[in-house]
Amino acid sequence: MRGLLKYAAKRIAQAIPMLLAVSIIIYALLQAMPGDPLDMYLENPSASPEAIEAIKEAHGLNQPVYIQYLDWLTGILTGDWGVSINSQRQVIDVIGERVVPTLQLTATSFLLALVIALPLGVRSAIKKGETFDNVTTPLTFFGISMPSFWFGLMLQLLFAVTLHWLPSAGRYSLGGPGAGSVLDLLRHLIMPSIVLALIYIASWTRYARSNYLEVLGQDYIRTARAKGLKERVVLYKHALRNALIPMVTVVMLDIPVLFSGAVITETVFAWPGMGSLFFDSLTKQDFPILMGILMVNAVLVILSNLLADIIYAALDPRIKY
Amino acid sequence: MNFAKSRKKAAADLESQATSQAVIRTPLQQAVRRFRKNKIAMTGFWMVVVLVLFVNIGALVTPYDPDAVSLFDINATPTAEHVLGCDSLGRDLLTRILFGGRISLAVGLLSAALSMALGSLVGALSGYYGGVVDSILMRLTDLVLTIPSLPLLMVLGVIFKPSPTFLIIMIALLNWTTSARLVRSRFLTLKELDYIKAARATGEGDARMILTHLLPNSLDVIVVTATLAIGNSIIMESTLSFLGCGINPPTASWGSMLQSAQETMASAPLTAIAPGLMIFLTVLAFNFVGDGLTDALDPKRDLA
Repeated sequence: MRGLLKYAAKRIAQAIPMLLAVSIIIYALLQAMPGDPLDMYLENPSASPEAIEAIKEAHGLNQPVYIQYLDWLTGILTGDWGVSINSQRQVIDVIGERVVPTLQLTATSFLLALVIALPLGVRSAIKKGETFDNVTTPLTFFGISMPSFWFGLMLQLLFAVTLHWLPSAGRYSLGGPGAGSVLDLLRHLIMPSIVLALIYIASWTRYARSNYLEVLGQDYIRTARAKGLKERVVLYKHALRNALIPMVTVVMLDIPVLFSGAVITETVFAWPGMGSLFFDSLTKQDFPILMGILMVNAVLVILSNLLADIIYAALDPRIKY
Repeated sequence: MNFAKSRKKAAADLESQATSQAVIRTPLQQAVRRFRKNKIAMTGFWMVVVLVLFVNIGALVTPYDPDAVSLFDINATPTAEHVLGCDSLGRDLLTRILFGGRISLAVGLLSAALSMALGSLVGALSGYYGGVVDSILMRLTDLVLTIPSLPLLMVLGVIFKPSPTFLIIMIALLNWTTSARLVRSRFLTLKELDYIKAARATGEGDARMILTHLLPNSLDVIVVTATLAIGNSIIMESTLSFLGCGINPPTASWGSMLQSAQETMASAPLTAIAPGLMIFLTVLAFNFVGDGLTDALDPKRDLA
């Protein structure tokens, strides 16, 4: 346990410079964006030069770049994420109100993928070469080859435009009976969560299958069988538990990718989460919001890497740290 | 002299022995055999061949200009002249699919090739030299992996309004990490093997060691990752172009053709279905081939 804590501390210490480096890169790139955010004021004839100067002053746009960066960084750490150029509201508030919709979507997709992929993968490993496996494995190819935005368009075309079974976009209906209810939310959630989950259903099924197959070939499984354990116990206790350990890493590392995948899904389905906020802010060149979301995403990547390593080390007694 | 003679004799013995039992095949021949026996892989291979020919020959023989706007043909339904109908500007859909396909395939193939070259270089240097070089390059790899690539590419797309060439470079610059890691770990394994140590002992220089001994023995990893990277790059290009951050209209790519699909799909469903189906089939084909290559290039397969 102490060893594990020490290992965790070491990994956290490594993560901090990485995070700083990423923040510098992101900051530098967004500084290079064309179009001054003040353009819309400059074009406004009623905005006096003094007023523009005041806005520059308020946003700290008169300072040298590295001072602006350090200001921004201390701001991030103290909860002051700057002001949205577009809406003049606090970035942390604008992003904050998008967190719940995004979490609803990503969590639903995550659970959906897990609940479908694990049994599917394990079963097709057990039934390797039989019909079940011969159907599942090619299907996983379809999943990983599907461009998710097009899959979303096709679902919209079929279930919303043609059949009128499901709402085509949004999070709640604008009016009518039941608008704003939980059921309404769930109906809106069906298509986007399936679209977002598809690639993970496919790739986790493949991982689960190949991990499970590898475990089945191990000596300790032969031992378990040789000592007369029931096949059920061997398959679902001994083999399953060992096959799940590497799955933890894969699943953990995919969590941040799930969030960046939400950019596409949320844009296609007009789901009012962080992803569609990112897309909107990109078209409006709302620099502080883009910075905020990219940083949230980078923190997620580093955090999930960290957790994946630590959980793996905790679960697998063979790992020396 | 004596040694060479006895080796020749041994080889001849082995050959006569082998011809009496089975034909000896080089590892490459074995791999090709395994690949050709794999139905999924061969399906993928022929799909790729057909797609590439279809797009390239089609673009040469089509009578229409992909960018020619025709007011009379807006959202036209399929007819004998316009096999797939027309899009919202009256442009022939099939023609745009052919021309768009050339762009999408080129972007996919070239950015996969470029990211592979870059990744192999980084992986090779990192694995061969180890030490400080390794830590610097691997930290760099971690750094690139930490930046969320799709959002970043979207930002870059808006900043630079990329030409196809630039888009290829952008995608490659964020996609080399997988191959770098795989090539590096292959190099680390190879360095421990006796025949590599023997080559080292004969006094081969670094460049020769890498180019004639280590890289050729890592080709299987490189080829497999490259093939799978093609599908990824095609999806990435089409996603970016769909979102308006990649190939920009009027240039057709399968992704950019879908930009306005959401508005037009109710009245002209083919404008939404056809380009996406092409992306899907192409990526599927490359993934089939990639998976087949993974199995075919694994020498342990025949033993299993």
